[in-house]
Amino acid sequence: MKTPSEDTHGPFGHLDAASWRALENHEPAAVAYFARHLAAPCEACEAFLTEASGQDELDALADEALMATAGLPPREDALGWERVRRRAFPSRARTWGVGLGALSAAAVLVLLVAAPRTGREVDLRSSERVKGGAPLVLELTAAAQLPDGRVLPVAQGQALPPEAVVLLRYHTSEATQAVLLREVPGEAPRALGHFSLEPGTHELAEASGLVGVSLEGEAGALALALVALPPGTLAGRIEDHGSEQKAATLSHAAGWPGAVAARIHLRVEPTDDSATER
Amino acid sequence: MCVGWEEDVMTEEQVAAWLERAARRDQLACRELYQAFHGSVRRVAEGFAALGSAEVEDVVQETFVRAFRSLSRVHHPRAFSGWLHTIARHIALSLDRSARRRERVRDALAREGEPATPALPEALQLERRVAVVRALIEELPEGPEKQTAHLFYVEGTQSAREIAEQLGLGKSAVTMRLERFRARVKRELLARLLAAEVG
Repeated sequence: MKTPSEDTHGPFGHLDAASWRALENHEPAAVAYFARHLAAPCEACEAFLTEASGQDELDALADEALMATAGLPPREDALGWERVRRRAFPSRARTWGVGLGALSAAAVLVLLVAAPRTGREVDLRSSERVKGGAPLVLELTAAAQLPDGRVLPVAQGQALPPEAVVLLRYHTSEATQAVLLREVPGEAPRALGHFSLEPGTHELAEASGLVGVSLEGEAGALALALVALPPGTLAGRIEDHGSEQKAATLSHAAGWPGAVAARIHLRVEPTDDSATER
Repeated sequence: MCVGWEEDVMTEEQVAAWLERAARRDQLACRELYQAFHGSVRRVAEGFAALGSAEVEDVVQETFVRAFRSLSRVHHPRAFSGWLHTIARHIALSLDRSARRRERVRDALAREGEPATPALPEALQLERRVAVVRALIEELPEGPEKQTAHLFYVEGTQSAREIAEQLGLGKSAVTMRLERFRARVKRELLARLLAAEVG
């Protein structure tokens, strides 16, 4: 590899602001020189390419290739889209700041575990005997992280500010698949994602981390429904579907045969102390 | 023509159709664009080991919100992913705690403009560029630099922060290695662009 002290005999030496401008202006001498010079590794030029700004076109070419190298298939991210959608397409006249956005999975996990488990935290329990087997038990609890960093347990019907992020914890008696739905009076349910649930008590999470449901853009009554499904239900209904069709199909999950739902009902109100209201 | 990495899933024509609808504020088209590209945008942010998972998610969210506000700037589907990555990189840099990086991003953000639609020579089509990346990784001498680039770009499942933990390295060391390798890729691509211009 060439170092800064080597191979500087050409008319331009190594890449710098002046020679970069010459390349941007397509000066033939610069183009010809650097076409040769950069064909071999060069520490000095690579340092310039690392540090200097104003290389958007080259950055785009490089990043597109770098990010495509692993060749991993696109992964559905319903919750991420929901967060983007609420900011990009606010559905109501009033919006409340930029909100918290996504939360750190690790940080959220610590905060949720550390949150005091008081009598205000409610378990919403649902069970149903599926095809004559033992009843599937599904329970849902929630905590909310507020803009000031506090994490509070969430009670049934509790008022929360739109800046809050709701964290969910479930208990299920058996491994199952489930769909998380946003339910608002007068609107069709919207699927926020689908998950594999493990027996026992766990935070609701997906591959990229813990699930936090932002209330940004919401106002009024809102329910979060976790709908557990009999084995094989999901695969049969959403296999080979595009993401639009999949989301539309999943939004009806609560009505599917054998579905077991647990819900947290909330009110989203833009008051400073709404988190402690009942 | 294939725009992304899933040739049979995402064609240039599909992306063009989504972009046209998304520019008219069609939510379903925006959703398709998000689902197709959020992974690579996330990987751009995950290359900065200083960013925690919350900040990475913030970068993804902010990138798409900003992009959806400015879709009218995109005149060619081939420009879209590169433009997204550039926005994501600028936002990620702005969240990086390094003062030097912040200085760079102030400059970059001031320049953030039209998405470039380079008239690419055959030697720089996506498949060829991916082959360049793989070859450059293969050429690296065995050692932590090669291991880092392989884990991040070829395996593609761990963030720079996770790789730092796995290899027992400092976060900044991993970010620096990835940036150094990226500069090598840029140098090689620039050489090919210039060679094509020389003819």
